[in-house]
Amino acid sequence: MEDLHAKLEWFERDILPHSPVLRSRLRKLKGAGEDLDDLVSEVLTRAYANSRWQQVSNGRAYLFTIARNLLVDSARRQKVVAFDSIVEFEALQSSYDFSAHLCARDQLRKLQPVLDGLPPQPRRVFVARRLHEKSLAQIAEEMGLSVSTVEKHLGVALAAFMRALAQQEQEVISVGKQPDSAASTARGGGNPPSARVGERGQRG
Amino acid sequence: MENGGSEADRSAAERWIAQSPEHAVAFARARQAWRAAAGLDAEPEVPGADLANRQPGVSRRGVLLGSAGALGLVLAGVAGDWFFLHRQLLTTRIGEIRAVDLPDGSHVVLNSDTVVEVAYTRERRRLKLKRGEAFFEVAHNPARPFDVEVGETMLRALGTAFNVRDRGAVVELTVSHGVVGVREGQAALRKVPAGNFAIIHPDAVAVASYDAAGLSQKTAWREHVIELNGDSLAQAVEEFNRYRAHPIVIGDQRVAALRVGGRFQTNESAQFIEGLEQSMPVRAVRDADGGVLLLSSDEIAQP
Repeated sequence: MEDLHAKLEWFERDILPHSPVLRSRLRKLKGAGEDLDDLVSEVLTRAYANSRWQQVSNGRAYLFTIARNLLVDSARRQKVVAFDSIVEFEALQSSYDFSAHLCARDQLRKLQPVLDGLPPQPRRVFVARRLHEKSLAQIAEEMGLSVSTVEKHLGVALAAFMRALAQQEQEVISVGKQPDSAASTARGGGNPPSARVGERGQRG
Repeated sequence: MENGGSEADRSAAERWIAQSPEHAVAFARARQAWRAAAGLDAEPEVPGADLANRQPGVSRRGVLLGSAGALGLVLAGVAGDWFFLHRQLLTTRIGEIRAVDLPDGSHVVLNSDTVVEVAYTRERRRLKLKRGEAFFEVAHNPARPFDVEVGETMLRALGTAFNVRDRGAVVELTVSHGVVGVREGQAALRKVPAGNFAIIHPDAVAVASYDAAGLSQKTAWREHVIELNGDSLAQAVEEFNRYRAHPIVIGDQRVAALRVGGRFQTNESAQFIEGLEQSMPVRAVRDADGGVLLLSSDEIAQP
């Protein structure tokens, strides 16, 4: 269980903040729609499923390597993804990373309208629990509701915030590094996704 | 400090998360949203607004929580705060210096007008210097890192005593014992060993070696002492002002550049000003509120 908590902290700190950039890039390749969210979720899930996560030194390069390999796989099966887009994807792995810095500041700006747009009950419950730090039992008593109803309202509010964050997109600000330097930044250890990076030599 | 979830909730949630990577990602996303919402503005309430009516179809794998049971477990984990074993907000008023013992055997001393947030998890001893300056003496435990965050800067203690001061644009680090790892944003960890003073800027870390006297000057505040050793009057005034409700203001740039020495208690700024008036070409104008304006007395001395 110690490991579980450390891994969750790692995932939230080093991987999740890059998902807006990933989503923005994937949308350009694949277009909007149900597929896009599934694809982002699939990349994140694979990123988490790595048992050698402690060896990942660059979260974004790691995430983009997984996305690239997923695209390569789907291209082999379906022959739809243009190879150019995959090459372009690799360039992103090494471009300078602003996402973590922009994230915290931008997040609040994006979440405020979500809070303001919540239905009254979930909004009240969320504000009481999250911002005023009251216990669920205390909130239930104040609002004359059962604890499980309070929990449901809290769930509605939290889901709205999760949705807003999951659909967040962010453009990459590239500082013009070459795609060739990408390999050195991705040190994914022996995990399957990054082990396949070597295949890119074939494009030359 | 509050525990909204029971031990049973906690282990049930842990089991659920451990079941599959999908669950873990859902949990991480839920907790990210929970944490991100911390700074939201609760006012004004917008009555009748309904987001659910404005945002169309959103039931996607991994984003939302599959079943009602799973939702309950995640809420117990996220909203129940059980992932914090110990949480505490430490603060000092202007002029106050306070020593606090932490539950792991570490000690922290807060300088005047300082805020430190303590959030210990099982894996990590995490502290945030939100304002001011603090000295940390860390109980050694390599299995559970001791991290101090100052804005985007992360300092990791490696068996250590060190001083951190938040100066807005930069963070000042003084290492008394051991080694402190410095991490700015996503950059690699840089190690600063004992006897060094570092200025940490988002783009660069400048490290300078200090002798014992230099180091003791940086941490003298813990004994309620301000040590001046050839510092400019502007620097000296900045130090005294940290402990004053009404600041000393320098009204003449010639005065600002004067070099001063001496050893004062943090609450002895009045004696400091008297000393200046006696031995330097400085004139102090005191206003009714307790503020002090320092001017050059050149014109009077040499008309």
